Amino acid sequence: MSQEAFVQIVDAHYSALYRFALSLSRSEADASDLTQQTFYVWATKGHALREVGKVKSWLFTTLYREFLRGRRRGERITSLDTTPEAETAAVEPEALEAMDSQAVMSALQDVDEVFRAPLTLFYLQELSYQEIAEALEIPIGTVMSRLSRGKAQLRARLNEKRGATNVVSFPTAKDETANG
Amino acid sequence: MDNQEAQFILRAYRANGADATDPAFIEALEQARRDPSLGRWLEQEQALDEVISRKLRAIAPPAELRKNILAGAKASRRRETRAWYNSPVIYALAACVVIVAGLSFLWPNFNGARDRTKFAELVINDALHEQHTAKSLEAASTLRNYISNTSHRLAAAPMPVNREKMEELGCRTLTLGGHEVAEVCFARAGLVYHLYITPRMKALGSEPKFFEHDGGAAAGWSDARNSYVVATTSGLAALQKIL
Repeated sequence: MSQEAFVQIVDAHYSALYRFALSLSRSEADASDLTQQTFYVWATKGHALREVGKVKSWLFTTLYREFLRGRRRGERITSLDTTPEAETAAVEPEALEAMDSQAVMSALQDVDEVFRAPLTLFYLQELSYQEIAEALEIPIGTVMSRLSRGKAQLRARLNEKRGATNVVSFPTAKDETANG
Repeated sequence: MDNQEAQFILRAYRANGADATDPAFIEALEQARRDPSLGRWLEQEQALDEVISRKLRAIAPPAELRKNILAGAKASRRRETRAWYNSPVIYALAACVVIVAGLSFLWPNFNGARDRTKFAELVINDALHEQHTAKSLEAASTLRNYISNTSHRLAAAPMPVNREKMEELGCRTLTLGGHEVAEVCFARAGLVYHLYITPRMKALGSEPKFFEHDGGAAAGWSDARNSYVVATTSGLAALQKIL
């Protein structure tokens, strides 16, 4: 692969991959490492991919595999697919507009991991539900189910974040002294 | 299919309309059109999804990440090359061959890439800092209707452009980096884009290439007759959605 083609692919996809990695790893440093690692794998193995149209899916799949591979030994995802579906909390789009992007990302990072991965890919709007299923190596029905449950969880987390930002703290003794 | 089933399916329907032609959603979408309560639910669901998507896409990667990715890949390639050749003599010979081949093969492409990048930067500068008259919004209505239509992906098919007539139609025309360019502004989903059209440049192929400069983003590609660069201040993701 030429350097030019490599740069082209980096430019087209690194931002979305970083956001996916940030959602998974919950750390900017880890997200940067994961994104770099993904492109390293692409630089060394990408030539084996025969379908040019599959580059994006391939990168997201690779990033997710690298994330799972880097997980600490013994740490496992608890399967939550059998848990009852949370009641969907109501969130108004207008209220959400007032939240900053970091707060929305933070709410997403609080969602259980089994839901977070498909949910982030869904909201990044880069992959269809079939491509999400391929990237995460789960059946299509499971993607839909996890999106449904994940959305409910995310809305609950968003409401919590909004509630937290609306709390007005009492002034401390130190503040009162400082204010005269 | 009852409404609960339709909701389950439609929760996987992307708010940007990218799944509009996916047969898996057609029945559920049809039901939402027929049933007002399901229709309202879908509208709210999409509005919320769109805000969340926009917020997530607004998160910028660290400034140094792109450079680090490119530098890391280069370093990795060099390290791997050393590992393959244990003999310093063979390695030196191989390096000579690579350098000679690289100079003869890559140099013209490098110039093309440099021209392309320079042109894209000029386009972005123009889109960001120059006056765009109402003319360029009103002109060439067939083309403007085409490029404003959210179902058209700009780089996927030849566009209805008669470049020679664009000036007559009142399009803004200018010279950028020695290229005669016509410009048309358009909007999609509330985002403003500037399309620049110039006679076909060798440096731009049929696959879109993306550029970022000074807070603006651009994508360039060519069809059989023309080259196109579309620029926006709304970021690369906004460009990818329309190409």
